[in-house]
Amino acid sequence: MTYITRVAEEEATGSLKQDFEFVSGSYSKAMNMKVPTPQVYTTNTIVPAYFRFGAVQNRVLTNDGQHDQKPGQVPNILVNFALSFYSSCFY
Amino acid sequence: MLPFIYPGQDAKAILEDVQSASIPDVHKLMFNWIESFTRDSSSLTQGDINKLLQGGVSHQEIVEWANIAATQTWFVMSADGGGIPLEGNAVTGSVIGLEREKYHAAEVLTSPASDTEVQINDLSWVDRDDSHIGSELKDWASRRYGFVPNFFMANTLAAGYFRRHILALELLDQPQSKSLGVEQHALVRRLVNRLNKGRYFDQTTVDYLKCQNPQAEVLLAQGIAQGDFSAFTEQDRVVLAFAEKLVKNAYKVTASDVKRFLDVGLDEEAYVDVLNTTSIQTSMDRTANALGIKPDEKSLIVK
Repeated sequence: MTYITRVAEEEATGSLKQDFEFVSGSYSKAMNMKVPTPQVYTTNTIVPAYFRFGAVQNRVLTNDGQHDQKPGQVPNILVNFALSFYSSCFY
Repeated sequence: MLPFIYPGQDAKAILEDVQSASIPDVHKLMFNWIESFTRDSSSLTQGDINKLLQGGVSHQEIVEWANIAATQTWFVMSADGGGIPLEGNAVTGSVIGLEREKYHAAEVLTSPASDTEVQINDLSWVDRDDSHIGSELKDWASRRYGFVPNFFMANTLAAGYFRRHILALELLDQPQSKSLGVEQHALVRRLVNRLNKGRYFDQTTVDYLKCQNPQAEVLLAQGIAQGDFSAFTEQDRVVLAFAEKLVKNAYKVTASDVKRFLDVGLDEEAYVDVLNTTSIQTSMDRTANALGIKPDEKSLIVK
């Protein structure tokens, strides 16, 4: 049960709908199967400017949803994990 | 597959694995640096950057790590602030596959607050490539501030994140809902910056708050020192307490924090506004602290 009201992906309109489509498409490409937008983005659906910020961050992290970045010495997801770990957030 | 992402471990076991010889040294270096980034970014120094360089990490990787950490800071606060449960395709949840209540690492090895004096003689502690400052960024920065902020100059080795930082600064200009007052928004930015001991945005958040209420800076400083914000209105106290909890321990946020907003006449949009103002300001403060970015000569207030 989340804490606040959220706009469902299928009910989104305008910029919210566009951003939902992009994020969902980006994750679907990464996972090679159709997946809905992860819930962490939806915390911000009632203030679309912040939902857009989440979508832009996904664009930056995934090269606009292409997921074709060069691997470094440390996988990006491990950096994500470290920060989540030390924050006690394991979403 | 690294050992610490196998299921069935608690936080202490994960920490032991991070410190053990079974993972590559560069991973250990990353974990240690990100731990400081998360717990007390103001304690990081040029010596920490040098340690990474000596361990074979490049300037570009360091800047990339700082920028990844900035984005993840926002995701962490959005997840915990929104009460989002673990789900199958979550970024870290999919890797870990564990019950989150086992992992309160924030209660383990908590670093004391630091008042480290930091010297920044150059623009930052990391190399840069000014050719990545393109005309679009120059035009945007010139229109807003009259100069290109050091924040961008210091992050040229991860220029792909510029559009994220541009939007972040635009969002921090003002509340993004009609429910949160401009003065409340300025109070949140200033409180968050002070809690993060963010050197880079110090003067910016002071000046932004002064524009809204010239007396508030002194009251806020007293409130932080005494742990008592009684000089502020009931609404402001709820907003400030929530922002403080997010910065210090976002995982402790519960549905009761939303209820407190509603009880004092604020609404869910105001809650989301404070949540994002806090997470975005924190992400920028910690990145600047970690890379040793020298403050600009003028505040980042839109002309």
